[in-house]
This record gives sequence, C-alpha cells and structure tokens, in this order.
Amino acid sequence: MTERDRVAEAYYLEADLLDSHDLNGWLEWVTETFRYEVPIPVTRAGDPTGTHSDTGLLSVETTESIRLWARRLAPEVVDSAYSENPPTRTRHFVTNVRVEPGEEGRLRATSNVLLTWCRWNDEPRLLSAARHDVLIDDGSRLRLAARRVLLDVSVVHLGHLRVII
Amino acid sequence: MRSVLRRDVLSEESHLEEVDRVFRRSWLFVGHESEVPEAGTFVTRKLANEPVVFARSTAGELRVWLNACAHRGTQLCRSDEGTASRFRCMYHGWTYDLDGALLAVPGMRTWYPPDFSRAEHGLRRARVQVRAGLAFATWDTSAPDLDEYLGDYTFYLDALFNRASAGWEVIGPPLRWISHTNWKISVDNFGMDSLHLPTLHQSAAKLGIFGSSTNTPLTAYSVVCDGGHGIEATKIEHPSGQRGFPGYPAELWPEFLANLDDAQSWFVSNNLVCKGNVFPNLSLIDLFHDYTGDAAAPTPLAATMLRLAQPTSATTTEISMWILVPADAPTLWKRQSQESLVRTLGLAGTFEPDDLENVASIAAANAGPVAQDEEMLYLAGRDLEPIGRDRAHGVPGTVYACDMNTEPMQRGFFEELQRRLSSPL
Repeated sequence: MTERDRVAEAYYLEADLLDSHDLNGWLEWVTETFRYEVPIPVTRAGDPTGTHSDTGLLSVETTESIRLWARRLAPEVVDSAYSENPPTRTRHFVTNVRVEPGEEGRLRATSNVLLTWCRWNDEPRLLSAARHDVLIDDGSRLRLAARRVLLDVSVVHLGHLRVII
Repeated sequence: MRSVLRRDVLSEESHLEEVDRVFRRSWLFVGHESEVPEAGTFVTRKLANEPVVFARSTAGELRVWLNACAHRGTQLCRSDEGTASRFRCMYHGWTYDLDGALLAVPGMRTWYPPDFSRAEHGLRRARVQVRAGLAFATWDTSAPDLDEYLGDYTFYLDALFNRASAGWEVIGPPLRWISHTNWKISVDNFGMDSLHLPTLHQSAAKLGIFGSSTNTPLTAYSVVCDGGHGIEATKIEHPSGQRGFPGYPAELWPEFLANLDDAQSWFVSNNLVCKGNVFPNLSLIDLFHDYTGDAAAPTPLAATMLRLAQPTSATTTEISMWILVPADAPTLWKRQSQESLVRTLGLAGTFEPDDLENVASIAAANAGPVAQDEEMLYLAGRDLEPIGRDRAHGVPGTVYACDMNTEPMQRGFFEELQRRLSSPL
C-alpha cells in the first residue's frame, strides 16, 4: 500500500465515523494537540493566493473543545442540542488525496471534500472544500494532528457549520 | 402592542415594503472604523441590499458609494477588501478616486461630446457618519443626522465602544452566513430575546459554558429608546457596589471607568450579558463565558460582537458577524476572546446553531396562509412599570427591571416598524 493509499484509507474511515455521528470514535484518531481551523474566505482581485483570511475564523476547535462538543451530544444533554438532534444527514466524499513528507516524520496531506448536508425534509445542500492536514504515524496507525479547511464558498449557506469537514 | 401577525413578519409583500420604506430610509451599519484604518483602504458591503464600497479617502474621510460605474453600471470593485487609490472600470476604463469622483475617461476629448463634464458623472454616494467607531450610511438624503437618528442610544454605543482608551478593533473580516429565516425573526432572537436562554440554550448551562458561575442574584434591565432601538443588561449584583468588567483584562478596568460617566459605568459594568439592537438590524452583544473549550484561557472570558441581519428575501437573511476587542488588550487575550466567540456565537458554535435551527423552523413552519394568519405574541413583561430614574442611575430611555429580560424591546421594535411602514411617502 502506498502512503497515499494509507492516508486515503484513513480518510474513508474518518468519513464513516463522521457521517455515522460517532464523534467519540473520531476523537480517537486525532492527537491530543489537534487543532482545527476554518478560516474566513476572502476574495481579493489580483491576489491568487490570498483566498482565505490569516486572522478571521469561521470555526476553530481543538481536541479539548471537541470533547465539549461530544458532551453536548451525550444522552444527558443531547435533548437540548437542537441543531444536532435530530442528526443532520451528512456524507463526506473525499478525493484528490496527495501526500508529501513533512518535518519530523509527519505527513502533509491535502484532499478535496464534497459534503452533502440535509436536515429533516429540507432540500440537500452541498459544500466543497480543500483540506490541508498534518498527520503523524504513532507506530500503529495514522493520526490527525492538524486540519485547515479552505471553503469554496464565501457566505456559508448550510444551516450551520457545526460539522467537522 | 401585544402581537404581530405572522403574515406581517414573513410575507413577500412585507419584505418588499420594508426594503423600500425602512431600509432605504434608515442609517444602516456598514462597518467598523478599524476596517478601513488608512487612506486608500476599502471593503465592499451592501447597503439596503445594494452593493457599495466603504472606503477611507485620500484625505482620510469615510466614503460609501454605489459599486456601479456611472457610465453603464459595471461593478467597479469585485474584491471583499483591499487598498487602492483609483478604481478603473473594466468596461470602458472610467476611473474614479476614493471619494467616488470621476477622474478620467479614456478618449474623452476624442469620442465624447464637448460638453461632457466629469464632474457630472461621479458615483452615487450614500451619506456616512460614525458614532463610537461604528460607521453607518444611508441612501436617504432627508434623514436626520446619525446622532439624531440614534437619539438616546448614543449613550449606550458610547458606553460600550468609547470606554477603551485606544479604541476597539475588529479581528479579521466579518463571518458571513445565510440564516434561513426573516431578518426580523433573526434580530428578535439574537438582539432582543433573552427568555430563551434557559431553554433553547440549556445545553450551554449544562456544559458549563455560560451562566453557570453566577451564584449571586441577577437583575435584568431592559431599555427601550425612541427610534425602535433597545438594549438590555443582565447584571450580577455585587453587594459591595464595586463596578467591574468580568472577563476583560483587569488592567483595562481603570481606563474603562475613567472613560465612562457614572450612569454609563453602572450600565456596562457587572454584566453577565449586555445585548441590544440599533433599529432596524444592527445587533450587538457584550458578554462573558465561563468555559468554551480552552482550559488555558482566562475564566471568565469576555467577548464583544456586532451582527448585521440583512434581508435578502422574505425568508432569507444574510448575517455578518464582527468580532471586536479593545485595541490595547494583550495579544493573547484578543485571540482567546475571538476563539471563545467563534465557538459559541459563531455559526459553528454551541449557541448560534441552535438559534439558527429555531429561526429556520419558524420560517419553514409558517410559510402558508393558515399559519400566517396566526400571531407572534410579545406578552412577557407587559405588566411591568418602568423603574424610576434613580433606580436606573439616570440612564436614558424607558427602563424596566425584572429577574429575566422580558419583551419590552421587541414591542418597541415593532412599534417603530409599524410607524415607519405607515408614515407618508
């Protein structure tokens, strides 16, 4: 199996966990110091690389803050997690996986994701993005150390963005 | 008043009437001064749903002009932000300065009539004025000046946004998203309604994010100002009477107190949450959280935001959220404050998604004529009498006090809306 295949397999497993709403299972594959950022998209004529803000964030989470998220979905709280109960139907389609070696044995991986998102009987909405990740190998498996999500939309049209993209 | 018809909130006819009679005749928020700090800086925004450039001119003046060439309407600026000294139209090269004045027309002497005058073809400008760092603009040439429009509300904007000696600054561009509901429902839910805190936001209390550290009694003061503006402060009463700013760096408290008069410092100190709305659609919130997922962050941790709810259709609203911090707060604190808001009141947070779900459900459940015949009730606190000037420490407006903020702000908002919609053209 190539490194790219290994990373892609890990991404497919991740997508299964997220789409089946197994956030606790997903938390086991991120590292303790995992950081998740969705910078605010910015459009600037004449600036092909400046597509997302350096300072503004639509979403910023860590392993610690996502544990809070998982607690929100726990039986004693989930009744009042109205935006996530009933659960949103999501499906992550992950493609264009590319891997490069990073410092100290880390892997820098990029991938494209198409997220379908549908609440109750509404029409589904689509969102695409690029993911820029850092992965480490802990000896037995790959783990996600950092993720930066670059959205392909500037005004978010999903019902909310409380979803790991 | 005690209710509004759902039809008057959600119908297409109401939407069109409001854009015409309210939004084109009001002072509308376009941005914070810190977004255009230097001559030549600009951002693109919408003013009553029409595209504008909000810029600081070469002479340092704030300008808002229609983002459409005076020649044949081509959009002049197609970026969210930037720096420029000129805007050159891609169609025929008409070139403008930051004031919207037409500087140059290629081939003017060759192709255009001899009486063609550049001075007659500047960009359509909106009036723009600032209060406490907040820039508002209006298309209405006959509207009173901003200070008169805000009336008593200038007291509250000054209290919140003039208390930092070095001013406030935005962190990043605004967060933007679509809320699938009518703008009035969004403004009600975010800027005016507090009764939903223990119910819709029950999870936040259970998770220790907000409102869980207060064992001391709370008193809620709701203020209704002329012009449809309102603000409410939910205070943690200190028996000592000391005025603090929980969640803000302690080193800023002395300057806050020094920059506020007695009435202002009473109103904006000791608040669990202070929130309100400038009619029609500029809401604000200043609050503190106990914990938002970062054990290394201070607790409590304060945060401040502005939120504009633009009516894009009868059932869709474009939300813009600006995160503001005191410019002289420590760098780390600024980042932590920003992150605390993104994780709670941003569209990925623990509060906002539940609000979005709620308001989307209101639009979805009341689309038809049967439902639109029903009312939205604003009954809470109708039996409350305003408190006297002494108890209100002399703050302007009509002030109510209760253990929870009730609904006088909503009633004030809808009364003003009704006044605007029934005023002569």
